[in-house]
Amino acid sequence: MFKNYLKIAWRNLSKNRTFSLLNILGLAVSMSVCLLIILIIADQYSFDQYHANKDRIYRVHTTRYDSNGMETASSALPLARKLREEYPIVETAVGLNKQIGGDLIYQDRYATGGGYFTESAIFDILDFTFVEGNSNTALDQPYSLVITTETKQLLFPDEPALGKVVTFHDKGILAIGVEEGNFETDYGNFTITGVLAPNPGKTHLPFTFLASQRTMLSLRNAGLFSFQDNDWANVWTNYTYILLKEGQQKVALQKALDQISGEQYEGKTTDKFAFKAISLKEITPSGFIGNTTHVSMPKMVLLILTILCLVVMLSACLNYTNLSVAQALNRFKEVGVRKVAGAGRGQIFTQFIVEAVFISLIALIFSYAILWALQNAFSGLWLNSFLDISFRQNLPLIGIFIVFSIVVGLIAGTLPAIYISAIKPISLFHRFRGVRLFKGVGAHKVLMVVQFVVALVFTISVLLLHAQARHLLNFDYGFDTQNIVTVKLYKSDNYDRFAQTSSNIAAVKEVGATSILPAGGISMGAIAMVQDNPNDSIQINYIDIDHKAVTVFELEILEGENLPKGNNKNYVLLNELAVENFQFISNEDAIGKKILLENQTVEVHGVVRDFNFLTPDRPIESLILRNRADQFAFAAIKIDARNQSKTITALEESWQQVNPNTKFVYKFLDDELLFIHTLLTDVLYVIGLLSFLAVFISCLGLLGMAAYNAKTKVKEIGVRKVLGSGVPQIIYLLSKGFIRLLFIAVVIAIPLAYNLNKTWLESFASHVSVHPGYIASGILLVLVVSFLMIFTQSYRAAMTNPAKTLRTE
Amino acid sequence: MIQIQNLKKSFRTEEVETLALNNVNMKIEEGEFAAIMGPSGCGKSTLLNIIGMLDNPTEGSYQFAGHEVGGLKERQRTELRKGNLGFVFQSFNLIDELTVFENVELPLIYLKMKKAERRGKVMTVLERMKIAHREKHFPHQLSGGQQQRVAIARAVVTNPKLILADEPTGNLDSKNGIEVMNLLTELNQEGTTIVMVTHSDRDSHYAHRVINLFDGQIVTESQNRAMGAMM
Repeated sequence: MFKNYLKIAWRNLSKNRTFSLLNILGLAVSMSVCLLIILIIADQYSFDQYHANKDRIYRVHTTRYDSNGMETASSALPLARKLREEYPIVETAVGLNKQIGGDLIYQDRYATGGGYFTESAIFDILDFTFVEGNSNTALDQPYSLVITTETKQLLFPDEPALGKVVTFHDKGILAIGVEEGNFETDYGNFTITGVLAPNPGKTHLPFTFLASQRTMLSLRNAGLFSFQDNDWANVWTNYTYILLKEGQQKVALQKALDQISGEQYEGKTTDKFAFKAISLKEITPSGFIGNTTHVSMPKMVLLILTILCLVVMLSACLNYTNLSVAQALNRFKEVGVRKVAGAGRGQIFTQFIVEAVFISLIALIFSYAILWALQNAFSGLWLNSFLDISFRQNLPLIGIFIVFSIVVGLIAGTLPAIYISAIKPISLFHRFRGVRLFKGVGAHKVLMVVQFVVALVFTISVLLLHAQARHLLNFDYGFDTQNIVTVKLYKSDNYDRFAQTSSNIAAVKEVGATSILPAGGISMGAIAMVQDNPNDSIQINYIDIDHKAVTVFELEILEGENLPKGNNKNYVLLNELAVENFQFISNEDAIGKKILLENQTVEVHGVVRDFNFLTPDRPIESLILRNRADQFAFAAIKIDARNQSKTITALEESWQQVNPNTKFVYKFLDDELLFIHTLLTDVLYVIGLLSFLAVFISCLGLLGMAAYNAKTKVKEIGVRKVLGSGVPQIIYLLSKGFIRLLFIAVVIAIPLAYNLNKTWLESFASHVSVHPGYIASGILLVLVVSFLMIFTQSYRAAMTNPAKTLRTE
Repeated sequence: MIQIQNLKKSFRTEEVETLALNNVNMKIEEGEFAAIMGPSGCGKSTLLNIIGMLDNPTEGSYQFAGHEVGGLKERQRTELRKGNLGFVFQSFNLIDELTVFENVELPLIYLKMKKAERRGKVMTVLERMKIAHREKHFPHQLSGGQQQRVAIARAVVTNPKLILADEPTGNLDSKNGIEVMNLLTELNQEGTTIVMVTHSDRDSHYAHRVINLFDGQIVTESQNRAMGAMM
């Protein structure tokens, strides 16, 4: 029987190629996006599966009482020792400190990355394989370093690493690769005491190396590192990992943590924290938490993506339903004959469900091909350079794909199967003329309206996303961003000599210094007050620059003068908003005023025009431009637009000449500022794809329904034509129902699209408005495509010779 | 085999109620060949549908082989139909996507017969209908006469007690028509009861008895003297 079902399904597919193609394409395209999401979800749930004791491993997170429960993955450093020594439920616990990251230097080789200060106990908790060294003692001595195989390959490609001594320059690089600091500190020599094999799977704790925790003490003694003993207030730079004893539960651990946080933070008003036990499997995917040790997709984002994809998938399923029910017109005879031959309703139902699942499985094959293209596109996204989603597939995952496809088939096929199995065999004697399946059923109309509302909202959103991305690309920051190269100094001392030598390069127009890159996403703030009125303080941002940076960034001085030449920290510049916030009468009035800033009195030397030193999504705020040479972290170099690569080479040579011990790291300022734009482009890409799918599926559905409509009205069209109706009137007759539905969709979509887009656009301080033009363009686009679908089918029906159709009838 | 008493069937639309069968009384014995005749709209097909258990009467009694079937639900009617009734239609009603063999096999599949047994039965009946050489062909590859022979093969493959034929020669030329009628006669002579709806006087002569319907009522009944006279 099953074979018979498949046989007839296949023959029906081959016979009705257009309908089959519409059905399969609609399902396949949406299914491929869902497969992609399944892969992403699978990737996010594949972390840390290789640890032998994974069910007993926990990390301690921290919540702060006065921050609405905002959670961080970090905790206090003394916590691990306390748990280890005082709580018998704990087999072992270890603390990690993240404040080490920079360059490992061996002879003329470099390896750059971040890691943790920790103890050998980490190897008792998490699984690591030592290629070289002993896991029990590797991190016992100060200045011991355990490195990854990758790092070993960079530093010692042809020789054993164990026992080798490397120099370490700390640069504030985090283990996840983000460079937090702008300065370089020489931590001295470290001995390699172990080399770790690559992890067999994805880990939530990536790093380049691990340094012994006793090194922290040695560095502090050397005056290179600062931390306090038994510091329970610092819950930001440390992590605690715990291995519970066999049979112990999370509840017991949480109870212990509650007790500890009770003891440590009881009665405190500030810095009052609570600890939270998080099992290893809860770490990825996570919620929105701070201080994470790896980049992953938050659960909420996964959920939103899943919902969006399910909306598209459901739309495709319902399309299948609509098309199949319409197509059932051709199956009346078959169903009737089967029933007359003895088939029960259940058997017919099963047959059509099997058929839907069969089609869904065929769609799966197509979707698998589309998935390959999607994977490549997703891998190319800027976002994925952080997420590093791998699309590895294994047998269980392919099994999930098949199960998913079967479920899709079941959802899509149930309604047609119910409809069709309800056909009475008596229909056989009625020759199926004029049978209208949808008569009196408004469900398909509602569905169509919903599909078009989704398509319209997506299309309008894509147009606005595109407009906003362009707006940001051309965003006027109020300072010059073009042809400026920024070179990271690592030591403020590196600036003077470099500025001097690089100024001699012909293509270099000006060299200035700055503590942070304006509009680069980082801002520094302090409390400031006018000396004459010390009770009225304001929160103000500051950047340290020299007088040449004013020229490099082309900041416009509205009143007073530029900062004085040389290192003179007593004079500052204000922006217009700061003048206003300090309540000076005018720019002119501000000049010469004394301001108290971080225990220092500075004098206003000039006022610059407001410029956006924050990101484009934030409004301009008050700013003080200070001039403290020891804070300079970047050289900003204005260069000629021509032959820039040659200029960069010259700059590098100049750098190596004066600062041979520090790496030359440069970036173009305008590239740096594209952060938000790149993010938006990625979102545009994803929403654009979903939008295309929504429009595509809606149009497939519309095409199918228009064809069905024309088919059921063959006789009516014939009679009307015989009675003198023209082609335009017939087209109008066949199209008016759909046009009405489209207009209902438009009426619903307009406020929906307007409000949705207004909400996300308002999160940008500088944004395009939801102009009626964008809404109109979106509507026009969808309507034109839809009309085309309806018109082709209606025109075809209207052009049929009535003599032929009436004879057939 | 069939006993119908005071049978009524009405169809109701929003505006009007039409009485398709009005107080029909008839009896068909086992082994009989009965023809139902009458003008279009007289209720022939409605009567055939009820006899074939495809539809229920509005009023009255219908007994099939001693069982009252007038008020049965669809599932019960399906069960009773299976293996007991065979249908032959004017427009053959073969499933276009199935081969000749598969079309004939269909009722046996629903009887949950084993594959090997099915094959034997189907081939026997196809050979009997002289169409076995076309077993792998699809309906559209056959002539009208051949298609109707396949339809008859499908109707008789389960050895039903009753065959219901709705204008079985309506779509055939006279030569093929005669061939089909001869097949039905042959089946009847072997003991199968046949009820046939027809417009054709010629075909009605193959029946033992002709029942004439007019406006939903039996107006005349006549016995044919010489069966197979035209063979």
